[in-house]
Amino acid sequence: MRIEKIILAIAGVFAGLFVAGIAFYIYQTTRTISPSSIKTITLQKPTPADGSSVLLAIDSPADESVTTSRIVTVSGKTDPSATVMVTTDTQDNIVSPSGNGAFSLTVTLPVGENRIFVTSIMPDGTENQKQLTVSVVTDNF
Amino acid sequence: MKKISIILLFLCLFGLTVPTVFAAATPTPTPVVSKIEEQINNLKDRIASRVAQLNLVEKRGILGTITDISETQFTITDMSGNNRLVDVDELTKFSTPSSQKSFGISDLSKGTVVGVVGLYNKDSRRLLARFVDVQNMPKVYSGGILSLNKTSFTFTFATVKSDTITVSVEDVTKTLTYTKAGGLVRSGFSKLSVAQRVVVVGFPDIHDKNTILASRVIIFPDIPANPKIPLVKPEDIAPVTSTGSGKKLTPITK
Repeated sequence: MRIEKIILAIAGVFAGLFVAGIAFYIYQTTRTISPSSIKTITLQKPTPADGSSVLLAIDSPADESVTTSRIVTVSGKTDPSATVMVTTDTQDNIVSPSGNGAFSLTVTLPVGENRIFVTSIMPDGTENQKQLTVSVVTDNF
Repeated sequence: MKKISIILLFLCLFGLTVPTVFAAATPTPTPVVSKIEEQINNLKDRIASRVAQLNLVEKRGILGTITDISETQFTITDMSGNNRLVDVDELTKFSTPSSQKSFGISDLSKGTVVGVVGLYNKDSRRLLARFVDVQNMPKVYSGGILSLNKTSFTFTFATVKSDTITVSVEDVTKTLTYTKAGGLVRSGFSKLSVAQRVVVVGFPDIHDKNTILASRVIIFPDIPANPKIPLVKPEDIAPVTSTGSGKKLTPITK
C-alpha cells in the first residue's frame, strides 16, 4: 500500500513535468513579437582620438617597445577608404587597408632606436599621424 | 531482535567514528615533512617576490632631447613632450655617430637628441639606461606645396602647424610618386606642382634653419593636401592676359 503510494506520487510528478514541458514548448513556438516592441541597437563607429577626424589605431608594435628582430610588423586599423603611409628614418611604405580597415606591413629597422610614423590619409586630404619609438637591440641586458 | 540490531548498529557507528576522531586530534610528529614544507614555502615566497619584481621592471626604449643633466642621471623630453628621468650606472654604454672615441655622460649636453634603451621601473617611472645613443635623426614633414623654383630646384611648402619651409631638392634626393593604380614609383622634380600634397624627409641646412635638405620627397597627386593648410590652388591663379600693345591687363578681383 505504501509502495503503491510512493510510485503513484513519483508518476504524478513526472506526468506534471511532462505536461508543463509541452505547454512551455507550445507557448514558445506560437508566440509572436509585435514590431513596436523590437528595439534596434546601432553600434556606433569608434571615435578617433587626438582631435583628428580620421580613425587610426595601432595594434603593433607597442610604443617604446624593445625587440631583438630587425623586421617589425606594423598593423592596425583605420578607415577602409584611407591610404596608410608608414615612414621610418630610412624607408617609406604605403598600403591600402582591407574592407574592414585593417592594415599590416613589415618594415626593416636598423639596430638602435627608431621612429615609425604611421599616417592615415583620407581621400579628402584629412589625416591622422601617430609616432612610435621602437628599439632594436642585439645585446642581451 | 529489534533491540539487538539497534545496539549492533550503534556499536558499528561508534566503532567507525571514534578512531578517526582520535586520529585527527593527535597527529604523529613528522619533522622531516615540516622542514620540507618550510623550504617549499620559502621558495614560493622568493618566486613570488621575483615575479613581482619582473612585472615591475620592463625593457623600454625612448627618444628625446636632453633638458637637464647631472653626473648620474639626466632628464629628456620625449617625442610626446613628456619629461622622462633616466638613471645612469657603470653598466651604461654610450655611443655617438660622430666619434669613435670613448664617450660618456660628461660629453652629453642640454639640447642633444638621444635614444635610451634600458630597464623601466613602472613604480618609480625611471629608466635605468643600458644604452645611450646620440641621434642625428631626419625631420619628417607632411604638407602642401606653396611655390616652386625650377631654377634653384627648391620649393616652399606649408604644414598643418602653419610652418612654411623651404625644401632643397639635391642630387641625392630620392623623389617618389604614389598613386593607387601605380603604387610607389620613382619620380622627379618636374612632377611637383603647386598645392600638391607632399611628404618630405630631410635634415635642416646648417646655414639656414628654415631650409630642409631633402633626402626623400613623396608626391601624392591623387590626394589633396590637408584642408587645414591654407594653399593657393592652381585654378585660383588667374592668367594675366596681354593686350598686344605691351600693356598688361590685370584681372578684376572681387
